[in-house]
Amino acid sequence: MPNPKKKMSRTRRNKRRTHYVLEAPQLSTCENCGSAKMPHRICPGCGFYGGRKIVEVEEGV
Amino acid sequence: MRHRKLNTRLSRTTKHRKATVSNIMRGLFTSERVVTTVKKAKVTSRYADKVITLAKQNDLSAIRQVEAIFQDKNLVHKLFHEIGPRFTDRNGGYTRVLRYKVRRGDGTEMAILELTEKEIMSPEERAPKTKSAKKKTPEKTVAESKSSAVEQQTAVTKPVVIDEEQSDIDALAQAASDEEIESPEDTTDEEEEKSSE
Ligand SMILES: [Zn+2]
Repeated sequence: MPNPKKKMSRTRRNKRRTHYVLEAPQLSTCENCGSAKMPHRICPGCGFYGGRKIVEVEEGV
Repeated sequence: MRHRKLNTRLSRTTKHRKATVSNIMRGLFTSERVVTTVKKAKVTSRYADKVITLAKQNDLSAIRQVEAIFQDKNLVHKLFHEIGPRFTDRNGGYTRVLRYKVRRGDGTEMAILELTEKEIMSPEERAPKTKSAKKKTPEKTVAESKSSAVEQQTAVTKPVVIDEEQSDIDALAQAASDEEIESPEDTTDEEEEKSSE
């Protein structure tokens, strides 16, 4: 069975892992309440989308 | 050719898929709005548009085609007498899919599937109090009924804030309930300080 010839050094392993980065989501601002929200989605804060109230949002949940 | 028109199988057999779509459509036409996954909403949206197109034709052939989908005479009656006539001025685009929130259990993106022409705007998918209040006042416009429903809800939940005459609804929303509980304590502290001075 083929196997790695040499043990990979810690440095080499860690260098590879420098590219393992989580990307932050692209956020847009709500036109109604100004809070950050995911684009093309109903605002979780106020329930508005496209200048229209879609859903009531329960407070303190 | 209708080859490769099926864009998803929804992890179902043909029968199961047909049943799923018609079940979601039944919910959509009975309650104007339904919450499902984005994928199911988009698939159902296509079929629902076709059903409304049939409902607009309003002949015996169309009725029989719709009855093949829904085994519910009352629903078919509603389709041909309420929902179909609502869309006479609109050519296509009878349904709307809005990305709503992420489902708690498996992180699936959920969507609201709704009819674009609605007689009564329901603010939330399950709000029996506001719905009954709106049905009593059908002569109001949609915007007025929405704002009145919001005022009614705030009146039910927070009667204290109404006295301060805050016209801005957003200000009402930001005034959290815990702040209201704290505010009387603050005033009593101030009064005690004044009395001690
Ligand atoms: Zn908002």
